[in-house]
Amino acid sequence: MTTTRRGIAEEPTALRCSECDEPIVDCEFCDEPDCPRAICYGCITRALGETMAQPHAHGG
Amino acid sequence: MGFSDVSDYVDGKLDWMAAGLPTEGTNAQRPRAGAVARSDSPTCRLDETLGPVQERVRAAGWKACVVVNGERVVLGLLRENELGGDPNQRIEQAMRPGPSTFRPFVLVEELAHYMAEHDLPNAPITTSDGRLVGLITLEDAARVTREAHGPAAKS
Repeated sequence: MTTTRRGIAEEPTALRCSECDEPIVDCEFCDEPDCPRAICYGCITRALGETMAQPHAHGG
Repeated sequence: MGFSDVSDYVDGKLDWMAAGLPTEGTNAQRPRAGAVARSDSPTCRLDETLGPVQERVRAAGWKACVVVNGERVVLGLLRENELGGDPNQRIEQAMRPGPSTFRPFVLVEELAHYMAEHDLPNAPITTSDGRLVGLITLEDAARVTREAHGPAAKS
């Protein structure tokens, strides 16, 4: 099972993230199931700065 | 440290920026998706039928329409392919449910890079609670990126 941007656990398909090679259901950037540059939720949110490593446990 | 009035924004810096609230520092000068997204991009409701929406979107010169609820929370997206469907179809059947959305603080140049790479003509920008800010087009994102990096751009 894999978790998508929408938080839905789905059976993975043959598609893999072009960055980390994790199996994914569809591209988390363009939503296409046959995207040649498919990227997973974790990789795209990090690449766009939507998530970042927290430097301290309190988030400061 | 000399500050007299200090608040702790519990939801964190990313949530602050995702709401489009002001930031400071050199990085704050770089163009962000929320400033470039078009707030007048067409929207429709789940209970509409595709026909009138097709006409509205075409008249506005768009090739996409965002499906929202009464609070402008994004529920789905109609791209060119979905907009070409049966005019009698209900929007909830025609749309792509739960599309990928991006936060307003994302750098336009980063978004433009991925939009070009994925051949994505537009993308919905939403706050962290899912409310539509607007659609950003690849054309706008590429133009703003060029301007920011052009010879006249200030460092």
